[in-house]
Amino acid sequence: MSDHAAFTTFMRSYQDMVYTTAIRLLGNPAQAEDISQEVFLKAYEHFDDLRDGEGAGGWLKTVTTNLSINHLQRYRKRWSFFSELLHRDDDGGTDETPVDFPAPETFFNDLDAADRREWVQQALAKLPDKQRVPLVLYHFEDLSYEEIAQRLGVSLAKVKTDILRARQALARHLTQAATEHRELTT
Amino acid sequence: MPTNDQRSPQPLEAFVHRALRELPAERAPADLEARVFAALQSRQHLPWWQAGWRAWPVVPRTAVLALAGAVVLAVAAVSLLGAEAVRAFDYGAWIAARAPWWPALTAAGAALAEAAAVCIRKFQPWLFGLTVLVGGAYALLIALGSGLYRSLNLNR
Repeated sequence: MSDHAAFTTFMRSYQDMVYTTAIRLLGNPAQAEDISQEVFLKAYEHFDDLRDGEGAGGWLKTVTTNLSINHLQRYRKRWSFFSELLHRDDDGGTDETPVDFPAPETFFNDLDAADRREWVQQALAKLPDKQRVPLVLYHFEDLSYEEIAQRLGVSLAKVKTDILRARQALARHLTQAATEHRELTT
Repeated sequence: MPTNDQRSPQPLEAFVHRALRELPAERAPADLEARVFAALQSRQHLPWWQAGWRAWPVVPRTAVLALAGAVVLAVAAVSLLGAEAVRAFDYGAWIAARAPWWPALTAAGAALAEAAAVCIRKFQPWLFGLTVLVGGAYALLIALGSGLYRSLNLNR
């Protein structure tokens, strides 16, 4: 198989995974596509090591995560001074506030899976970067709180708080969506 | 809609984890493959010296390595010779030949240093106290600044 054909096969095998990782971290399709392109250009440079497929998935995931976080941090540095200092609690959540969330047996068994996924995607897209990124790293990339804190260069306490707030915001959104759905269907 | 009251984070974590893990993979845009190959092609048309180091031909790579080695050796040799010359050089005479005011300046400096030494001997406890006070105030300012920065910026 020629290099071109082999790389095409390689790309087709991994492009959905790379794009999914990028879009979940970045929350923006255009940026996710740019990052995915950059990831595959890097993969092409290392294709001799990756072409056998062993460890390629992990390598691509790590590079995608790193490039996405670097992209967000560059952007954040530009704007944080002006915006983030002024909007400290823009999500409205507090650590102490108890949050209602749908009972899992009802939510996962009685509701349509496609509806559920759409609500989760909407809720995820609404989260600010500072909450979505640690949440995605924890629940999708299986990183520990300590690893996330180290990777993002923030304190462990901040990571825990941001992830908790993200979960609370997601729960609020899903409760509201499920309640509205139930009211419409009954 | 029945709900769970979240008092401890574990049920919420489990709920969110399950909801997120249900999400299917996103489909990559149809033009991603074309974009990657277009970028690769445009890279291949770049002259070799604009490509990454891994893509350089063997001859220029070897030449650059040899040149870098030669530069390192030259810098090391010049540094050794230079250090010897620096040690042997009479700076006082060189400066005095170009600046007639230099002896007066060095004499004034020596007098100031002597006066400072006398002051230090005479007012040592006071100077020590002043140093501690200034150092303490400086440390307090640093602590206050970093505390404010952390509370305002990091712990959000």
